[in-house]
Amino acid sequence: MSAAHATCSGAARVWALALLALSLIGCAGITPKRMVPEAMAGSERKVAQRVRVMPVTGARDTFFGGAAFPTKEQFHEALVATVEKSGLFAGVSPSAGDLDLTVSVLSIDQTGFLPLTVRLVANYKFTARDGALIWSETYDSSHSANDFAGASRTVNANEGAVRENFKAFVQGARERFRP
Amino acid sequence: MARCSQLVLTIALVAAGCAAPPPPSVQRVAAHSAVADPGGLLVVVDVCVNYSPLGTDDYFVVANARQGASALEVAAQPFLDAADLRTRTTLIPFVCGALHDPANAPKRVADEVDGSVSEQAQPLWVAPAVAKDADYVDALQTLATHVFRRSVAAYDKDKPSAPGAGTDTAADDERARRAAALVAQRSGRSSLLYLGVTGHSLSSGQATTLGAVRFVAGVAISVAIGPVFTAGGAQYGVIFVPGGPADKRQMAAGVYDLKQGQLLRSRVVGGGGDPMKPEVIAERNGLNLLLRDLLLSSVP
Repeated sequence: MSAAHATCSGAARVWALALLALSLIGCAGITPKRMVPEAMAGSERKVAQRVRVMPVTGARDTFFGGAAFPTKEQFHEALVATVEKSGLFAGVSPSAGDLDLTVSVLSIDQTGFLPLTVRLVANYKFTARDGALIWSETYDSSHSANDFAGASRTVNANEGAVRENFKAFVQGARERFRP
Repeated sequence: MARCSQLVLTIALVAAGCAAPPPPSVQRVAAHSAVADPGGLLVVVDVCVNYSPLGTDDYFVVANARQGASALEVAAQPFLDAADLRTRTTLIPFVCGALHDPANAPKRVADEVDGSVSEQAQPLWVAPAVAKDADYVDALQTLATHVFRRSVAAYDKDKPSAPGAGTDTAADDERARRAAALVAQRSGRSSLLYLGVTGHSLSSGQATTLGAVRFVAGVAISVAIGPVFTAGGAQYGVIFVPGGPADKRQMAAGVYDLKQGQLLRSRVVGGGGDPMKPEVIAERNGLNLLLRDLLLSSVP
């Protein structure tokens, strides 16, 4: 009886520790949808050009057990959705358009623990079909999160930094391409 | 006592978790006005790698330094392009250009690892493209030394300075200004970005020996401390193995205004990894953070 009790007690302890670890680590991942700014109020009139969103360059490589950062694919997916949602251009596509939008992640880093802050510097360029540079701007954004679970903290800080950067980009592009 | 410390830790964690994080921020940034000058940017890459074999004295290795410098140049290109610093010239004028000691005493050097070792004053290799212009090489070396020393001095400002260091700052500034005028005239550029890396690599024999020594030291410390936990007649101890990464590298970089003759910004970053490998010298994430701090400024 006492052996069975000891086994049960040991198993309960292991489960409790596992639950505690899970609550600290969390299960969330970086999601492109949450990197798209929510409110992007602007003019109803669209620029009569279509935009091709080129692959994003410069995103940080991540590795198992290391700090999490958005991948270039996640950046790209969120950027396409952001430009679409902004309603600024007649069309948005990753494959064809009148203008090319190129985004380079110049740097992204995490600092602190509670709160954890992610700082992102990204450059945005619009080029014409002939390669002529139309517009180039660089934005430096930071977002902090203090969720108790470490993974949620990292995810929220990363997504927030990208969201802020995209918001500034849309505002800048809106000013440049004012109809 | 233990309960008290647990309570304090819990309160600290809850307080940290409940505190509001700083609000998000965003700003428009652009290349610093000095480097965005239409005169353009001269990028000088200077790598110096020291190798420790087992059984003999350390020596510098030219081939690995040159490979590391080329990799660093390639790694910096996307940042410089994206930051719209396209009017630029990149030079890898020498290996170990920045002087390590004011007297420039001869250093042990080999063309490659396990190659024949000779003694030579710095620079340990000069690019054929500039070798004929001794004044230009000398001016580049003077600026490299100036930026490297000032960067490291700013980084180490809390440490006590070495005897005799920093006693001739005005003369050093004046030498750098004269060198800057010559570099501006020869290169046609108005600002200079210096990227200097020094690294120290252990041979596999040295690394194994160091690991064994550290382990023995860890066991000795453990024995000296004694058991930290006793249960069921068994005693448990911990082994703390001292020491950081065996291989080291340090990057000191700065932006120098060639027109004004003035060091504008400087940064130093350090890290582990074997500097004999070009990909370690050109580690992109650290390089990008350094370039961000050096080259970009907020736009009002």
